[in-house]
Amino acid sequence: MVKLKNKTKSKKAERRKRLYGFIFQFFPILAFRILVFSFIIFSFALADYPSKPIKIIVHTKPGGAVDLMARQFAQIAGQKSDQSFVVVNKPGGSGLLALANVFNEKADGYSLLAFPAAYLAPIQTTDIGFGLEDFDYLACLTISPEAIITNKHSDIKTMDQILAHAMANPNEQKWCGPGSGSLDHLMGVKIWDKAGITAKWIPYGGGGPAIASVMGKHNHVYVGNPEDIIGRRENLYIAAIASEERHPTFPDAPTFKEFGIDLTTDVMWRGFAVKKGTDPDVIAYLKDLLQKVSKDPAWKQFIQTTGVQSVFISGDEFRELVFRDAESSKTYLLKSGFTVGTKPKSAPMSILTFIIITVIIISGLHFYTKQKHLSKSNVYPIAGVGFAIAITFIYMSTYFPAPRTGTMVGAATVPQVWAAILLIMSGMVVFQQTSKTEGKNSNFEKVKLVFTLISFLTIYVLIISILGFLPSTAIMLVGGMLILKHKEMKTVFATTAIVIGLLYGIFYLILQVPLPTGMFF
Amino acid sequence: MELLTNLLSGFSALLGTETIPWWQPGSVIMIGITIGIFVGVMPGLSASTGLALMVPFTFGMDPLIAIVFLVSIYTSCAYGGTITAIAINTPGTPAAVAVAMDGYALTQQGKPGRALGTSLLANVMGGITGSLILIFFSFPISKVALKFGPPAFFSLAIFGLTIVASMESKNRIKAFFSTALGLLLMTVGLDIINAHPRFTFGQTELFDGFSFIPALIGLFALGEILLNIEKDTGIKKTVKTFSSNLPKFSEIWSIRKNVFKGGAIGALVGAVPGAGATIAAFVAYGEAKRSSKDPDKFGTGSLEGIAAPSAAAGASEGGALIPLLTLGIPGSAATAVMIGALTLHNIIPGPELFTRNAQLVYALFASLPIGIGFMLLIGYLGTKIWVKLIAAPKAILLPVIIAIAFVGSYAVKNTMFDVYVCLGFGILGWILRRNGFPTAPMVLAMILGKMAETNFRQALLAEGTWSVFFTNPLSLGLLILAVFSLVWPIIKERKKRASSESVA
Repeated sequence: MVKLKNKTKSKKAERRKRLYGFIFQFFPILAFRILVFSFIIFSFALADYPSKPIKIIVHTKPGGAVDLMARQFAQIAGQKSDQSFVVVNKPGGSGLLALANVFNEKADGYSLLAFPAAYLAPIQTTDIGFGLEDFDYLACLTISPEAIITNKHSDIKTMDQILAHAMANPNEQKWCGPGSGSLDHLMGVKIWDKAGITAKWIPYGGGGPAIASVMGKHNHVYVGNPEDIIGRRENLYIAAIASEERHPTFPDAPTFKEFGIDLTTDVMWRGFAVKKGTDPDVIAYLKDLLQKVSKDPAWKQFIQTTGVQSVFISGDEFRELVFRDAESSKTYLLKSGFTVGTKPKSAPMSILTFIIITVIIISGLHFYTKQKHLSKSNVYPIAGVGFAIAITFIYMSTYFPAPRTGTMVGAATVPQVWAAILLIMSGMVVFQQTSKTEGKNSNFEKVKLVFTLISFLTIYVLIISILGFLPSTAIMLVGGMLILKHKEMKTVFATTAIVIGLLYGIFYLILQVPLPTGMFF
Repeated sequence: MELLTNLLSGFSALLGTETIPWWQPGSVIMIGITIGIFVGVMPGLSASTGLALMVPFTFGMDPLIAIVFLVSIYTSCAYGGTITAIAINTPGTPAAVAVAMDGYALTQQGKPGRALGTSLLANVMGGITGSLILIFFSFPISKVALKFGPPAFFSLAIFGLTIVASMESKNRIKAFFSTALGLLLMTVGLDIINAHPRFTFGQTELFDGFSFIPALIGLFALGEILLNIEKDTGIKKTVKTFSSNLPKFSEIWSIRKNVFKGGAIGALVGAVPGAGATIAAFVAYGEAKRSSKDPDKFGTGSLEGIAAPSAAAGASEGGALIPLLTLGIPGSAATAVMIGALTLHNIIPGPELFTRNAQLVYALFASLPIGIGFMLLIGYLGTKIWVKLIAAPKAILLPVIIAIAFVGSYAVKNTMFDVYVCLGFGILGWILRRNGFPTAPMVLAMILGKMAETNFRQALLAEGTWSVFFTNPLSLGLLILAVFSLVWPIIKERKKRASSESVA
């Protein structure tokens, strides 16, 4: 610009100069105004938190126990606050993705994390770059004591029977529950420790299948919470509960203490947290809101239905609970062979190995077909990649932990079996192909079109996080139709508008699932 | 007799009570069915997600209305999934993959109406079979379902995998290659027994493995689109007009056996917690092909190949309600959400439900046939619209499908990573299919792989011996079936080849 201004002395430049002068003259005033304005907005925002809907991040898929609690909370909290609450599910990574999601957001109090005790184990066993210290704990709203549940019609039903059977058959009794290294698993290990018995832990994908296995007498003991027997009191029996007193809803269930086992404070709790560094006023607001919800009759009735106990354990007390249980989890994680705070061993340079093997095998196959004067076919590269994936997976699996003593199969066994099958099948694909001479019939122009579309889609997927889902999808729709050579622009834009409108209506208005937003929208 | 009076009281409850106006149950069922079909049609919106998102709407409803509403959504999802499978080879639900094989082939021949009509009728008949089995036999079946322990589940998964052998007779080796690849890719993630991260390359997103639904959408929807552009076998090119003609009565009559067999398989397999609609649909497809007089027609648009898996998918939903209602145990992700939703209304599923909330249970039973009636009506009206939609110009239709595929992948877990997974599997699906590797076996492997491994290791951990797979009667029976279903199609073909050679 400056260069241009010096070189030409036309009227245009003159006019521009005047414009700049005007801007420079008024700039300080303008800047001052912006400053004042933003200050007002800023203080407005602080004083008037919340000024936009608050997200509640949940680590389960829709429909899980924590999710339902969060949805009920959102409903009631929305009535007690000026803003609405939206439940956002971020399942995956054993719950760590939800934690990471809140950790990566601003500490502005608009991302509320539903924080169940289930987080304690994965956050300690995985090296993800943040820990329990990085969150501010608002309040715990529900607790339920840990309990062990047996089949009512089994010979191993009461605590005495469990203990006698376990003593007589060391390491034979089958205990089950959701997951490995989970809260319930560690509770089981703790019970064995305190009661002086040994048993096996059979992990299941979730609580439901594990309870079914006890009902079907495939396992002896289920570790869970007393509410798990609701609706099935004819089939299931609570052998013991980890609390000081008997449970008000389940007065027939004995406590561990009654059998001389010192387990009185083990509870499964669910609370809320925000990212550390959130403004104290915002925290105070949220704490107050949580307290109001916890006293709401509709909330109390909902919590009673689910069988857990409604509480309000605020701030520091909740924090103490979190760290006390984290310490206890750590002890029993280490006891059951998990590594805490370190990365698990893994194969070095696995991706490089994969690339090298792929190149070697594909060029080998290429050489082989040339030598034998076989037809060129795309099947060879596919079989080659099949070989390479199988070999890489086998190589990586050799670094997996060895099977526990007394068991024959470990983490590596099944992948190795599948990889072996893939190796055999890749070999047979090559063999089958050489026995036939199959020409390929593809149109180069068309393949080029496919590659164009793939590159276009790759760019589309990558710019979603910059532009937001709907704007980039609009671009993709128009671009895609043009790449596929649609001529009428009218239909292109009309279809795009209709699709975007429908997506907006369905996801934002009806389902209330927020799609990713970019930097601008 | 008591059952019948109970059922009658259930029907009368649906005609209104003191607290419920007469028009409410019927309209709620119709809305539920419409939503369910829509949820099934959208790839990525599974029954479980759809239900969970609708739960908040039931907060203000009477419990009876709420349960009827949710069950209507739930029962119509399977039908919705088959629509897109047939129309654009994009299964809306995993079970619909089995329907896509023959259904889409018919669409490519310009007869989507026949395929859609067959699938609708089969779904409806399957739904009725499933409901009847649910109403009359839920307690005995639930006792058998509980007998399924880890060894039996492992053998069931292996049996499911062997169906690949009968599914793909032309390219069996390539089908096995796809299966093995699917099995291996499914081992990515934390392993269930040691919680050790396997093949995750340090990505937290991969701890739970590849998300199944985005992978399915990629393999089918995107893979199909890319293939369509390359080969130009696009529906538009090969056929000038689409007929929305429904199947003829004689055709429907000819598939009656497949429908009832599929319905029975669906209800029984669906009742086993954890097995679900997908296995049921594939087992029904395999069985239909095995018993068919014309097995070569399968894969090229056989009505039997559409009817059997559609009926199984329709029936499996009634089946999955058996463990839900009688034991309080979810048989699938969707029924798990149902349990949560019912709990919100102070209805706790389990054996006590039948004594404590008897009227509610029987009103639910009574709502099933009404819902199926509505499904037939809405499905019939919808068929013409679907046929019109797929006749849209390819250049318009394909980008729209891509947009829906990506938004559906995102909605499963609300993460962009799944969108990348969808694109990756889309490219993989295109490469595999353009070279004659079928992708349906890969989907089956991805569903059964985890089930096979988990139960294999649970069984060995619990019993400590390999013999458990042969001493458990259920497991042994299923393993024998597995061997049979693996070897039978090969023997049958050999025989056929031998006989045709001797004639020549």
